Amino acid sequence: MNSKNKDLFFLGKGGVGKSTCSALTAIHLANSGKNTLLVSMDPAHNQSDIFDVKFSEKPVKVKDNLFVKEVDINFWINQYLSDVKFQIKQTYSYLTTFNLENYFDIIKFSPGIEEYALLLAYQDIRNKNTDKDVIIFDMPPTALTLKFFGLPKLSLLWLQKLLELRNKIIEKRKIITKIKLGKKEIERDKILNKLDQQIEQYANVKTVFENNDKTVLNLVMNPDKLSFSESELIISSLKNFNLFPTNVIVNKCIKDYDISNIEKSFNYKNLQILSESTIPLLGLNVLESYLDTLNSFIQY
Amino acid sequence: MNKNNLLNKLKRKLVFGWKAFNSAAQDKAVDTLEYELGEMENVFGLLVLGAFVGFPSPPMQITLDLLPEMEKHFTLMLNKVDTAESPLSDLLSAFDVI
Repeated sequence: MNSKNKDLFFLGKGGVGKSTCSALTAIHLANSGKNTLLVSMDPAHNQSDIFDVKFSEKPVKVKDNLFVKEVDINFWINQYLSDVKFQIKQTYSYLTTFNLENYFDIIKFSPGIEEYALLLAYQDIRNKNTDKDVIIFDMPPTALTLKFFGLPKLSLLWLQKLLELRNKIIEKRKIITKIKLGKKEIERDKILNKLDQQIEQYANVKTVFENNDKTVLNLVMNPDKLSFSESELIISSLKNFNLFPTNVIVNKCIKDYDISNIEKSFNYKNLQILSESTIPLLGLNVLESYLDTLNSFIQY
Repeated sequence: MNKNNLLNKLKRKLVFGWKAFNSAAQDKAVDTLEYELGEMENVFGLLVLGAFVGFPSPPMQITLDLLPEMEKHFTLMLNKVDTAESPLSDLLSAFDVI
């Protein structure tokens, strides 16, 4: 997680144009000489349709300085569960492992696994793409995105409480060992080791999320009431995780639309207006032509 | 001479008695601590593995990451669920009645 690149996240209500905005930004940055990776984190991927190229877990070069990949959530869930299963087989007795097999079939459908798979993918992408200047994440709609950003904080809350209890248990065990065996050293608690590892992992992610030099949140919205309300909800929810969108992009803005309301509500953020295109923004050439019509673009 | 012998004998008996008393007190204290430790381990197991027995639980990945080191807790949890249907027999076995 020590890479020097910048992560740009595009989030917002379903259907507002997060994928299009992230694709436009990716092309714009690639054109300005930045080595860019565009990653689709949405399980319902759109980038393949936008670029008219079949993408997968392996990044595909679409033009100079621009690579695109789509995260396969099921791949990450299965890989994670098979890692856990392997560790269990190493430490558990045969019978208990056998009993656990039944649980693993349903664990992959447990609430929370999807956002954890996204987090694993995010960490892997950051670790493997230290050569990139910018990584752009096209996020899923609001619910899953908020869970993704909230995961480090929520996990740390649980882990701190579990750590407190574990330390009390270890303290008590030390007293018993001292009475029974004198000064004999006891082995370091394996559960405590795991808790420490997890705390370090989540604290690192949380630090990167909260660092505005490394993580830039772009809120995409449309000039309509539903999208406006949900954008406000996203901002207030992110506040709970100490995260604040830096840029607001108003997409599909119709001609002569009065954006003063939006400007007033989001006045402390950079505002980018993207007017509604007369033709569908599909294909690299169409996207490049659309970018040429814009007078300015947010500086990253 | 006899008086000294008697005193030494008495001293030895007193030391022996004190050691026996001390050891019994220590055992009793350790028993209590061990019982308390066992209960704390149960609470820890229930907190981490609650999802397996229908309790509110931490995010699933915390449970799964700790699971490989918690076989003892996991087995105990499942045994507790098995005996949950017959609390009376569980109570009697706890007091070693049957």
